[in-house]
Amino acid sequence: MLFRYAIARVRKREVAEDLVQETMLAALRSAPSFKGQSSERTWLVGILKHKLLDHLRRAPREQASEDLGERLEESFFDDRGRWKVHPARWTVDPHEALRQDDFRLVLERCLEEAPERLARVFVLRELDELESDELCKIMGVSSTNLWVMLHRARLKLRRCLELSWFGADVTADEP
Amino acid sequence: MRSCKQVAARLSASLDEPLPLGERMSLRLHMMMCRYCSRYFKQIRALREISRGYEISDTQALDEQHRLSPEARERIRKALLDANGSDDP
Repeated sequence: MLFRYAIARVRKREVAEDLVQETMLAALRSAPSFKGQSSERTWLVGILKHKLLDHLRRAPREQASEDLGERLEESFFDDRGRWKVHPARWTVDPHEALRQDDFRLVLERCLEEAPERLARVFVLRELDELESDELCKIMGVSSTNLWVMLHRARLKLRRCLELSWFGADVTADEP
Repeated sequence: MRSCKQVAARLSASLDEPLPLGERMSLRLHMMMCRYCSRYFKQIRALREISRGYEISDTQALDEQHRLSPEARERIRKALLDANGSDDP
């Protein structure tokens, strides 16, 4: 459970394993102060979350000139900025879908397929609900860059889910 | 007149920062005329809603790749035992 939480956010097995180990050790050390206000699971995930953010803060910053997924964005629009890949109408209710394990696997696979940094900002922002300014500090990017990265992550994930799950007929409503 | 590409980027940004009223109005106007941008916005908001409170660790159907390997498990167990031992007086 902890491992999955970590691997979804750091992607490297060794790093995720180390984080789980650090978490367990920290838990062991602070076990006497665990008063059971929360479930054990919530408590452990809380510790892991701290370890993880520490790790991300320490991680070397990529160069500012790195490709933040520009080509990814370009692939969705034509040279006049019109949609090239039209967002289709989704035929399945997303909330309904979430109750199904299959859909959850698709969502996680889509996250894995997305460029690593984009997937990471998405997970931290949308799953972990970090505020933008905190996220900027952790990722070492300006707020403008952060919004660009989040936008590209959303473009990519939206499309991936559409292709693998919400599979709607786009051609039906071509202009 | 802004292109869909620019509008889509600002629609996404509106989920992360408050936009000025004027810009919100112009985005809304664009969406009234453009079903694709309107869909995009609806769907990225849905994406947010389904992501909130989603716990990756809850998924039942796990494959090997997403589990702690037996070796890592063993290593962590050892580390815990060591730590425990050294804490004893």
